[in-house]
Amino acid sequence: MTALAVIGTQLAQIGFWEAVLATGFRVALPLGLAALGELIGERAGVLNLGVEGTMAIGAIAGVAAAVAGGPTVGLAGGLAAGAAVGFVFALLVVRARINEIVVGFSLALGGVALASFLSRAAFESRPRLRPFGSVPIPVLSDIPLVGPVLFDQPPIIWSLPILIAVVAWALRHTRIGLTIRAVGDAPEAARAKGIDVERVRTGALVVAGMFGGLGGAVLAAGLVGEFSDQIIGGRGFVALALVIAAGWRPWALLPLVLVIGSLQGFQLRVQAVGDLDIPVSVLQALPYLVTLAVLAFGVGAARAPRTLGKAATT
Amino acid sequence: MNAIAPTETTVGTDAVVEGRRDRLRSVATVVVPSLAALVVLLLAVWVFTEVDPITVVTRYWSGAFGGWSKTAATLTRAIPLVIVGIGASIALRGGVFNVGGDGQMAVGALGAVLVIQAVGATIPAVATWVLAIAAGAAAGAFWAIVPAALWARRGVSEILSTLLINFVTAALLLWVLRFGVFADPDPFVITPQGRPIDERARFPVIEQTSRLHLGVFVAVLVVLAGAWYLRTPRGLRIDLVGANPVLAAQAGIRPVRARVTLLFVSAAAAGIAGTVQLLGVSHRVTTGLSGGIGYTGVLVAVLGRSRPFAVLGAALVFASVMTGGESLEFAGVPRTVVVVAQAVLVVAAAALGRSRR
Repeated sequence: MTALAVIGTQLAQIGFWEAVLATGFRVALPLGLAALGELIGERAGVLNLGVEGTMAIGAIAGVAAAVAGGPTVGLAGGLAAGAAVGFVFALLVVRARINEIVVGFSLALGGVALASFLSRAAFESRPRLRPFGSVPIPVLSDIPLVGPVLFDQPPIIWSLPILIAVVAWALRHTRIGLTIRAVGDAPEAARAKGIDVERVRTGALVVAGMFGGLGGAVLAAGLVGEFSDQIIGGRGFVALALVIAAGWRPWALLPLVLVIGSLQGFQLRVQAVGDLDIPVSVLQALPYLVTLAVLAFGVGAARAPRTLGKAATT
Repeated sequence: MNAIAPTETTVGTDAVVEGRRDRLRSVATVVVPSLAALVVLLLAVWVFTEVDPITVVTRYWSGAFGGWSKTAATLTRAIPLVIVGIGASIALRGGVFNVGGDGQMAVGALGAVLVIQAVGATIPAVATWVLAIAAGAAAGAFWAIVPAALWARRGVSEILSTLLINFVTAALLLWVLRFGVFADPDPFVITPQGRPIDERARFPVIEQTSRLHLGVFVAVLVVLAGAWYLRTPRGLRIDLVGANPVLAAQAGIRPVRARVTLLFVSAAAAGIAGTVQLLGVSHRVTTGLSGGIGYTGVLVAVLGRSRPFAVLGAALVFASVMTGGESLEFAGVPRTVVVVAQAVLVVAAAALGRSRR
């Protein structure tokens, strides 16, 4: 009962919610980047279950590159590593036509292990980086609740809405976007029109890998400041679920990742209050439970790109 | 490929008729990609850790099969992999990917603990084992109710739901292990863990150093049961559901129902695997009881191309990579390389399976 009372007094304070949402919006960034990438690949008709592995490899590459050349190089390292992983995945699934579920699942498990292997091979002791600092925007950051959550953050968190806008616009209004959607929904027709389906899918998967790798690098090098074996901790799988829950629409991802991110923030903050061990272990399950619920009662499979999950046969 | 060809969401469904030649081939699909993948990996290890391939191979071999106690250790590792793998391969044949094995193992073991405590010392040990395994199977299957319902009612992919539920289970397990029924009465434990099960309920040990236990026979029984089941008319229908749900529906099989059943069967197998680990290895429920076996078991099923005896072989290969990998750790090769090796192996096997189609 005392545990609940402690939470109760916390819940009454606005500072608690500011901290929850500020943390939540930050952890939403890597999740959102990975999900946005996966969405592009899936719109081209390829399901990549290996987001978890891509993020992990992006995370170690990001940390290694950041140690060598600072934060910007770190992000570039994650991006490049993600692109490489996406390319290998495309080679196996699109070119060699190996079952994408098997390859994706192997990438999820093997990628996490490979990242851990590389971190041990590369570093004697685990390097600590300085995470991205917050940049308070004058005046705006003083607004209660909204200020600390939106206007006293590392500027990079704004990359998520910007990238979502770019991807949403590109998918809808550009030739490349139309081609990607055509390849995902009607590859035979696209092929008849002279589109190189395999090439488009490979390109989409490389871009998807870049987003996943960037997500991992932002998380490890930018937000946490180090690589650990458990750093991704299921985020890649949550990202996969959110793509479906968003009905493959880029803008729908934003509220979803903010909600799931905030739940994670909530769980972390409540844990920080301490001495409440019983509810905490249940709280840890919360983001996954809510993801599951969103998946169950969200849009459903009706909007799925028509050839999703059948890349080896179409 | 035409429209009636097997959809690629299924794995290993090309074995509607399984002949002797096919079995030879399925052995080859385990051996050949193993060798190819091994070469790539050895080079990578050489580059990154400066441990040369000959050292790696000799260390691996002596660690996995160097003498009876080492071989017994490999067998011990293979036991849960075989059991989860058989369940997963039955499901895979019907196009169902149950990757929730980790959670189902833990819940299965919890169910077994309840039964062991309930029967106490009143009945012979053999009866306790049988009851515990039955309870483990039931509890494991129970844990698949949510993904089954989500799939049948809402069309939620069982891959994602079972995965997400693993994370939920891992968190809940910490909480459940504090309950009086399960909790270790020792006041000095820090991370929650289960109370040890009664000495009499534990599987006898066959080999002392490796702690190889009676569960090895359970694993063999599961392989035989799986092989038998897949030859029954019911088992053959699974292949039809996996290969072509539309045709299966026309033949009077209800695909939704069939796939939900497969989810339960594979979850029950995972529950049995959790129980066997409880009775033979950990003797208590811990957060590390499943330790990724639920995932690895699915890879084993893919590597074994969903054929029971090939799955047995695949599990032995995977287990040997684990025990061999442990002895490599002393030579300075990180343990995680084992998982990379397994993933490469599985992709190689899937590649080979494809080209034969």
